[in-house]
Amino acid sequence: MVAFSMRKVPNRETTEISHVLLCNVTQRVSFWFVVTDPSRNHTLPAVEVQSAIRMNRNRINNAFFLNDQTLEFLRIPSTLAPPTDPSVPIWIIIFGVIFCIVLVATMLLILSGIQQHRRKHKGPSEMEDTEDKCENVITIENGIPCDPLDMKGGHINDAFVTEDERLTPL
Amino acid sequence: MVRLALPNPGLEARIPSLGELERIEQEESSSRPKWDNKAQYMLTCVGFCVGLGNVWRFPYLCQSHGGGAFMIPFLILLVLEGIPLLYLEFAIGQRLRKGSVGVWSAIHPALKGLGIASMFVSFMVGLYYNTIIAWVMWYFFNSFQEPLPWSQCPLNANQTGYVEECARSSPVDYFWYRETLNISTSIDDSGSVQWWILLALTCAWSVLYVCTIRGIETTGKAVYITSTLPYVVLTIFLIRGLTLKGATSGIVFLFTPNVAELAKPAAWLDAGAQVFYSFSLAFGGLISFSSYNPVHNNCEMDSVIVSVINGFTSVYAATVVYSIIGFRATERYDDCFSANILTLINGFDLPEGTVTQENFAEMQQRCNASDPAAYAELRFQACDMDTFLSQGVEGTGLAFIVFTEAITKMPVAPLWSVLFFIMLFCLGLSSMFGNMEGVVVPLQDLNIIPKKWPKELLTGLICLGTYLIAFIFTLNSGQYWLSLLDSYAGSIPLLVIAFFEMFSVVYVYGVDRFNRDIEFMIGHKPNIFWQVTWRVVSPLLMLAIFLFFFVIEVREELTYNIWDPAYEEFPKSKEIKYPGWVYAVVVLVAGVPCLVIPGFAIYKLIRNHFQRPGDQRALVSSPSAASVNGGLWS
Repeated sequence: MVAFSMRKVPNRETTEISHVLLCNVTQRVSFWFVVTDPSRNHTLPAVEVQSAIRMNRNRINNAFFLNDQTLEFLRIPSTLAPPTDPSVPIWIIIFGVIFCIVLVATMLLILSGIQQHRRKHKGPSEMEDTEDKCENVITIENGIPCDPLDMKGGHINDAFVTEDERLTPL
Repeated sequence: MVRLALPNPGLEARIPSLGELERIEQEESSSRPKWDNKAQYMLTCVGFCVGLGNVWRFPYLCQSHGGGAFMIPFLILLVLEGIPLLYLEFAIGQRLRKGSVGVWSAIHPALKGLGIASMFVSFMVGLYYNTIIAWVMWYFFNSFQEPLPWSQCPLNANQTGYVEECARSSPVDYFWYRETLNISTSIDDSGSVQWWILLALTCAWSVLYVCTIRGIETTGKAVYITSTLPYVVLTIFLIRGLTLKGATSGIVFLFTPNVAELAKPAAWLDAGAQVFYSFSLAFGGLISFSSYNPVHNNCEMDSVIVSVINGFTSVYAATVVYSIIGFRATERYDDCFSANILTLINGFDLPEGTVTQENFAEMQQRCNASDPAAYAELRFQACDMDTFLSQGVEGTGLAFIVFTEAITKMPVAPLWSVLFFIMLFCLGLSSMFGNMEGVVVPLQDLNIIPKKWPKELLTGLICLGTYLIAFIFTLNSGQYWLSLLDSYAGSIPLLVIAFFEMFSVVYVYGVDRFNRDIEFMIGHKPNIFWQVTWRVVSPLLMLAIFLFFFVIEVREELTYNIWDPAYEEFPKSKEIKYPGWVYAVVVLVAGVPCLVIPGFAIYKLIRNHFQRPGDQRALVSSPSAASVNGGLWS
């Protein structure tokens, strides 16, 4: 796998398995490795090997059915997957829903309060109307209707004719 | 028996007599609000008393002052201090049928300052309390996603690792301090308004306005939910918590008594203060709520029931909180241990699964025996369960850091998060109802507001005004301002007000008259227990607590904790001193309510003194002449 990764690097296409040297192999499957340069007989710098491994990390992992947490390359940090970032943060949606509900409730309460207020104010004025109506009802006593006093709005009593009319106009 | 009563002329004229009370109740039934049923009243009072402090202050106190042994001072002081004061407020409200300003000015006009002080304190506390509710709402809005945003760190710019501040502290710390508060490094450094917190604050104040828009007419309906839902959620969390691994170790740790702690006075004083603040006394709201009751309501029973419920809720919430803390501590301990096991396995190339928690010590010795040189090079972490358990945080740290971390480790985390923050929201909102009542009703009683303004308008203006002032808590330094107000606005003034309340009722109103009133209202005189506590025991206790706090606060330099990523010991918080102008703010916030009480009394005395000669002049009678048809008869 390491040789394969190195082969992907330009200028290193001729890397063979024999150029990868292992050491310090333990039973718990951990080891140190170096990659040698075939022509010049020295080990390759770590940075180059690291970048090669990083590019092919996915394939290496898949080959062993492992992942970044279970197959660790020391000093090669894994490129972390970015967290899912929805276009609208979820909290704004929830805030919008709750705020709208609260606004609607406020409006309803204020409107019903105004209605109650108006009803209370109309109440006393309605009371006065009914009192007037009572007075206009013709009272009947012994079957004979009594004329209420202010029914006809007043008669002119001829006995008290105003003096103006006795005088002849000029 | 102390029987001194201060002279109080004119008292009979200012208060309705007992005979008139029932008639007044009939007349007022349309104009003055009243409870639809007893359940509303009880739920409102319980909701006002049971608040965020029961969830995040009491468990911390309990754990830090000797566990189960803390119950002893707590219960003793509940009985000697909490219940008598509660009964007194309920009874005086029910008797005089007015809000706090009305009650105290009826007892003696010079005591109006007491009502004004209560109003001022209610206003200050309401100001910052609703900001905490805004933070709770922000977390609630963010709980509807999987994975929860505080369960993992965000990535840095080139996506190779986590943001540095987060990697050095923890995802929950980062979410709280950076993504929620965006906190600055000192209270001087105000920064700008954080728009997301502003939105949450707007939502919190609108919800409060909707619920209190018509006073108890609307809050009475809201409390059916806000007062009962916390108990439901607490029970759900208890059941869930007890099924988690390590929950019982937390509960055991909480209640293990350490009787030696009781010898320290700090335990008793903290217990007294907790009882006092937990009952929401001296805010004026309880007097108001009680004044809407029918005259013959049994306030003695009510006060005992509310006190018992409050005490029970504190213990219940402590159990739930510590079962979750036990779970979190066990998780941390397991992680720490696993790291140690991995170190050993890696160091000695042992196969997986051969070292477990049980045989760890044995394996360590075997490895040491086989290769001491290699063993000496291995570094093991110290894993102590008690350290993890006693990382007891209180206040916002408990809710927004410790608990949220524990929730992320539970399966179906968003559900638990939503439930938890709904519970905190309900607890906070029902306490805010009492605060609003303590501000709105005194303003109406003071006759500052024209009578024809509808209640909706008054409540709206108060909500709007307080909302605008609360913008200060949305700044980068908002959390520092909030802790400042929390420590000083809601502590000393309340003690002073409560002391004067008790003194006024017992010695200015007259405890004999008060006894007769209660006998008229509920049918029997208060027994010897109430007499002793009202006259002597409770005032002395309050005085003791007040003096202790005053002495401690005045002597200490004012410091506060900041979150500073540049600090060497980051992620620990750094303790720095407050700048000088903060002392002025503290004096203003804590001193003004206390000084309003004697200040108003002096003002009233001066006014009376200057008006009396003038008044007498006006009362000199001019001879009245009888006249018929406009003409004067001599």
